[in-house]
Amino acid sequence: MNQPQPKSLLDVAYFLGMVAVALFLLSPVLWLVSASFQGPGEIFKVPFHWIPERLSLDNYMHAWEVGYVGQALRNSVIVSVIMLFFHLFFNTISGYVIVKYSFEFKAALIIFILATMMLPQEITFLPVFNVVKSLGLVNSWLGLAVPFFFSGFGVFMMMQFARAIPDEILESARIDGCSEYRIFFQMALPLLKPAIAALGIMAFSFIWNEFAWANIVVLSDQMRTLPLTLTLLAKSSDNSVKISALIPASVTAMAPVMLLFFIFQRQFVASVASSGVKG
Amino acid sequence: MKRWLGIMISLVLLTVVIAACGNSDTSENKTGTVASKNASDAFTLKVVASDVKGDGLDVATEIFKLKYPNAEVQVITGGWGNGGQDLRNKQLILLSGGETADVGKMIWGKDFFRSGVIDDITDQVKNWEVFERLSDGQKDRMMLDGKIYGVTYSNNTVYMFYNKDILAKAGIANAPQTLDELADLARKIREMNLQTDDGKPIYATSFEGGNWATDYWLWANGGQQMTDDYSKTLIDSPESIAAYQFMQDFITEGWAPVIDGSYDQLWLNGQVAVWFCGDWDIPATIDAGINAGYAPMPKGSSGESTTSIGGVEWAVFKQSQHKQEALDFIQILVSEEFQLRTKGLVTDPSLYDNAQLQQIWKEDGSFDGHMAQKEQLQHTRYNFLEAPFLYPEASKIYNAALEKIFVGGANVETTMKEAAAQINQGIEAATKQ
Amino acid sequence: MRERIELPGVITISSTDGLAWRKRKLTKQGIIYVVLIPTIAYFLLFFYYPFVTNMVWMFTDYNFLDRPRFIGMDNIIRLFHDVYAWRALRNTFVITVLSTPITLCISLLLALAVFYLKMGKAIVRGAIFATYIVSTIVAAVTFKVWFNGELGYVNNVLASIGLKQIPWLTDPFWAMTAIVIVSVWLLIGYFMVIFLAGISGIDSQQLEAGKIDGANTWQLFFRITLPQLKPIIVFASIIAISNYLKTYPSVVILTNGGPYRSTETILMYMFDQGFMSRNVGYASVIGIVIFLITMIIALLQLKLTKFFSE
Repeated sequence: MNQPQPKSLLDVAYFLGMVAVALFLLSPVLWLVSASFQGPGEIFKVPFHWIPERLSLDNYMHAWEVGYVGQALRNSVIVSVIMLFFHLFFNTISGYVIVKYSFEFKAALIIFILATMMLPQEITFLPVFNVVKSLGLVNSWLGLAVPFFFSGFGVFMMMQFARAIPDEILESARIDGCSEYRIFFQMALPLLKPAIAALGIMAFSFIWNEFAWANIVVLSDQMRTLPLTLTLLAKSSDNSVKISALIPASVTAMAPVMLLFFIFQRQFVASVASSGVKG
Repeated sequence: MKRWLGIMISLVLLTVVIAACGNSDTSENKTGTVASKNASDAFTLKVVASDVKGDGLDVATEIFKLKYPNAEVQVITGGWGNGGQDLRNKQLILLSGGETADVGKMIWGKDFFRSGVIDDITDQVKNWEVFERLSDGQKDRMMLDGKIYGVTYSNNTVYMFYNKDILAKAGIANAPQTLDELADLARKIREMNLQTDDGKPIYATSFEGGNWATDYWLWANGGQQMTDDYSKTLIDSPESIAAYQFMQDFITEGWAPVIDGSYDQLWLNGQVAVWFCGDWDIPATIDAGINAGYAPMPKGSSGESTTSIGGVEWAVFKQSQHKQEALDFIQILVSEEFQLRTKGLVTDPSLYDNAQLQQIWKEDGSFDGHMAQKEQLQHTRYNFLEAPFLYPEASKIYNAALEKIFVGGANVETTMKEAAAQINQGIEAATKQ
Repeated sequence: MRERIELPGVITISSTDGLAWRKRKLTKQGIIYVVLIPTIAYFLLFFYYPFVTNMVWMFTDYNFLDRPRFIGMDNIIRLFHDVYAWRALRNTFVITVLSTPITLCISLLLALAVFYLKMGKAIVRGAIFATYIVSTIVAAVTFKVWFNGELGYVNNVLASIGLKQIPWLTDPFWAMTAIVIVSVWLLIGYFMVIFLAGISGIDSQQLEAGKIDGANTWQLFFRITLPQLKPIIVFASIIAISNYLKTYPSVVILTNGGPYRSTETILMYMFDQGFMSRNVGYASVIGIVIFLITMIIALLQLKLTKFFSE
C-alpha cells in the first residue's frame, strides 16, 4: 500500500458505488444533522428538505441553555475517559494473563467470566446500585463508570487477540532474561495494540451512549451525562415528545465520537492490517 | 519490578480516592436528623423531582430561603423520560434502598398514596386558601379515599385546536361545538375531497395522543372506564361500547387517520381540521405556520365535554424528618408569587385572569389557548385506567384493546368484552392478596 | 543451568531447577494472583452478587416499598401460565432469528467490499461504522419518524417511485419488519469492523498460492477465506444473538410493543413487570430465564463449532 498505484476507471466507479452505499446506510444520520437546523414545524413538512430552507440555530441554543448540554458534555467526557482507561487496562491484563499463563482453575475461570456475557447487565443494576451506594459512589463520575470496568466481552476479546501472540516470542524473551513485566509491556502490548484500539472504540461508544445505568445512579442535574440530557430534552414537561429539541442534542452527542473515530481509525485499521492478527 | 507494581497499584488507588471524594455532588445522607423547631436552624430539604429548572425549583428555593435562611434544598432529579416513569422508577429505587426524602413529585400519585409511604396531609391542606379555588378534577387528583395526600400543581388538559384555513375551505364559520357538528364537518371535508396544497388528504380530526384523547371521546358519549370505587371496569358497558364504536366509525369513514404514533405530525402538516391537544404543542403549531384557533372541547351526545386533568402532585414522604418545612415548600409551589415568576406552572385557576400572565401569553401567542384551557379545566375528571392502581396490567390490556379496535379494525364489542373480563379478573386477584 | 539446543527453525529449552527459573515461577504465580484475584472479586461483586440477589428475589413478592415476602415457587409457576410472556419470548426469537443472519451477511459483504476498495477506504469505512456510533435511542427516534404511515420519509420515497405505501407501524407484520430493519441497521457497522479485522488477518500467502493454482474469486473465498474466518463468524454470531435477545430500547421507541403487543420483547416485558407493575420477584424470574436461554444458545453454538476442542 506504499506505492501509489494508477487508479483505473473501474476503481473510481467502485469507489463511487461504495460511497453511494455508505450514504444510503448513513442517511438517517444525515437526516438528523439536517433536521437539527430546522424548526419543529418544518421537520415534518413533506417533502423533507435535505438542505434546510431556513437555517435556524434556535434548537441548538435551546438545547444548550435549557438542557445544560455543555455540562452534560463535560460529564460524559470525564466518565468516558475514566471508564475507557480502566476498561482497557483491566481487560487487557486479565485477558493476557488468562491466556499466557497456566494455572489450575483456568477452564473454570474462563467459564466464570464468559458466563457474565450472557447476563443482560440491566438486571444487575438494582443490586449494583446498592453496592455503589455502600462504596459512596452514587452520583459521581467514578460511580457512573464502575459497573463497566470489566466486562465478559472485553476479557473474551482480549483473550482471543492475546492467543494470537506466538508463545515462542515470549519464551525466547524469557530465556534472554526479560522479566515478566518487560515481556508484557514491551513485547505483548505492542502486538495487542490493534486489539486495544478496537476494544477502545467499542468501549467508548458504549459508555458514551450508555443510558440505563446513568439513569439510575445520577441524582442531580449537574451530574447528568449526554444520554440523560437527551431524554430530558426529548420530552417536554407535558409528556409529549419534542423531537425538535432531541435532534440537536443528539447531533451534539454524536459529533465527538464521530470525530474521534475518524481521527483514530487510520491507526487502528492500519495496525490491524499489518499485524495480521487472526481472531 | 515489585516497585513498579506497587507504584501502579497506589496510583490506581489514588485515582479512585480522588475521584470518589472530589466529584460527589450529594452529601452523604445523614440519618436521624432532628426535626428543627427553629426556623433559622440549618437543615437540608430533600426534594425528588424531574429537573430543577423545569419544575421551577430554583425559584421555589429562593422563596423558601426567605423563611428558612439556613436551609439547603437538595434536589434529586429523575428526568422527564417515559411520560414520568423514569422519575417514578427513581423514587422506587431510592425508597427501596432506604433513602429518605422529604418532598416528592408524584406523576401517578394514587399508586404511591395507596402504598403507605406518603403522609396524610388532609388537615393542613384543606385550610389552604388556594384549595377552595381548585376545580373538582384538580381536587380529585390529590385525594385517595377522601383524604388528601398530595398537592396538585401545573395542571393542564387538552382542548380544541382548529385549523381556520381548513374550516374556511369547508365553508364552516365557527369551530364545532358538539360532536355532531364535528361529524358534519367531517362529511363536508369528505364530500369536497379537500386536500392540502401538496395533495395530501385532510382529516376532520385525529385520535393520536393516547389516553388523553380517548378519555374525552369516551366520556363525551356517556361511557366510563371504571366504577367510582375502582372495583370493576366499565369499558364493556353499552354506553362505552357505543362511544368506541363512534370513534371507530370515524376511522372507517376516513374522517380520522389510523393511529401510528406519529402524534402531531399530521396536524403540523396542515392535514387535520380539529386537533385535541394541550398548550405544549402551541409553539410548534405557530412555528409550522398553522392558522390556528383555540376553543374548549365540543360537547358529546351526553351533553358533556369532560377531559382528563393533567398535572402532577407534590407529596410529603412519611419518613420525612421535616414535615412542616416540606409542606411550607409545597405551599410555595402553588403560591401566587411562584406562579407569576415561573409563568408556565399555573395551578390556581384564578390566575388565568391575572393581567401579568395574560400579557405574557399574548406575547408568545398562547393567549387564546390559555383562555380555552381555563374554561376546559372546569370540566375535568381524574379517572383513567392508566395510573397503576391495584392491577397495573390493566392499562396494558386496555391499550392493546384500543389498538385492536382503532388500528386493527376489530369488532368493538367482542374486543372490549374480552379486555374487560381480563381486567376484572386481574383486579379481583389483586384485591384478594 | 540452561541449555539451548538449536535446530533449524526450532528452539528448545531444557530448563532445570536453576534459581532464575524458580524465581520466575514465583513471579508468575504472583502475577497470576495479583491480576486474577481483583478480577474475580470484581465479577463476583458486580455480576454474581446481583445474579444471586435476583435468584433470591425470584422466590419473593417484592414491590420496592415493602420488605420482600417469601412466596416460594409462585412466580415461577406463574411464568408457565403467562400468555404474554410466551408471546414476548416468541417475538424476541423472531427478531433474533431474522436479524442475526441478515446482519452477519450484510456486514461480511460490506467488509469484503471495503477490504478490496482501492481508494477512499478510510472514508467509506468510517461512514459505515458511523451507523454504530449513533446511539440506539437516537436512531430509533429517527426511524420512528421515517416509518410514519403518511408523512414518513420511507413511504414518501416508495410513493414517488410508484409503489404502494406500507403501514409500517400499524400492522403487526410490517411493524416486525421495521424492527428487524432497525436492529440490523444498528449493528452492521460494528460487525463490519470486526469482519474487516478478520479478513485483514487472512494469510495472504495462501491466497497467492490459490491464485497461482488458478482458483477463481468464488473458490478463493469459499475454500480459503471463509474457513479462516470461521472463529470470527462464530464469535460474531454469539455476540449478535445475545444482543438481539436483549432488544429493548428500539422496540419501546418504535412501537412500544404494539400494535396490540405484537412486537413486545421479553426484556421489555421484564421491565414492565418490574417497574410498572412493581413485581420485582416475577421480573427476576424473567431475567433469569433470558440469561439461561442466552447461555444455552451460546453453548450450543460453541459445541457445534467445536470451539472447546481447539
